[in-house]
Amino acid sequence: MMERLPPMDPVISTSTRLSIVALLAPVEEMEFSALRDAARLSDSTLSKQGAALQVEGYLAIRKGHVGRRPRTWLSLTEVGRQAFEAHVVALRAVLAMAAAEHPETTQNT
Amino acid sequence: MIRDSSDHGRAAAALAEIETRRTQAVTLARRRPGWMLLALMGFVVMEFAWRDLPAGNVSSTISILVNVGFMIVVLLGLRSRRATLHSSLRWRGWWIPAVGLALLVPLVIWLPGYLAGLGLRYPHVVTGLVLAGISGCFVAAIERLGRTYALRRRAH
Repeated sequence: MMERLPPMDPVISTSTRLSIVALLAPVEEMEFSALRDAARLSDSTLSKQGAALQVEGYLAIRKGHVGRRPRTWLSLTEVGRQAFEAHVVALRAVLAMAAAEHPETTQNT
Repeated sequence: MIRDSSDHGRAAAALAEIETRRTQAVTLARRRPGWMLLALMGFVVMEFAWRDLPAGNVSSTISILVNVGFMIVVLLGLRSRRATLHSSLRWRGWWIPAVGLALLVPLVIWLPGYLAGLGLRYPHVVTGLVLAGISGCFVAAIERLGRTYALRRRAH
């Protein structure tokens, strides 16, 4: 059986980036420290991965202040949101295909 | 075509990860700080209790200041969210607090009169405490219900 699967997005295929994007998908924006804590990443890792996602056009970074304290908020761009949704569709297609090809081995997953 | 069984395993793990992160994000965006809830309860108590204070300019001024203080803390709590829910989820389940308020308002109207009729020494203080307890439980329950409802929506 040779069926075409929707392509997975290489930019968000790594677990760290997928965590970041998955955390940002249900929200308009999230504070940097909240995202760092939720994803259990270090400041530097989140900065690095965030910058990489920003270069790809998936992530927007907004800087501001709450009172006198500087704050950074991260959000998915429309491109990033669409890419994430397409990636989820691709992942589900892989599962569906596997279930169709090997129903006995995939029924428990 | 599935290239190998590890593709399937990776896809399943990635989807599980996405679901976990989604739950985390919605919980974070819907959670209000505990001190905000306490301030709200303090506001409700003071809103009623000041009527049992001895009449006078000083006591009414103090009670107004205390109430304004509680209100400011509540507003700060509302503003202090670390994440804002996406517009597709924000109004999901709006009817839950609406139904809750529809149940709460008649209680707020009825309870003070009922407690006053019991001949308590400080009826307004008791009313404030009872309503603060009910309001606290109400807000916590609404928050939990709203979060559960938003999580059930599988748009992403």
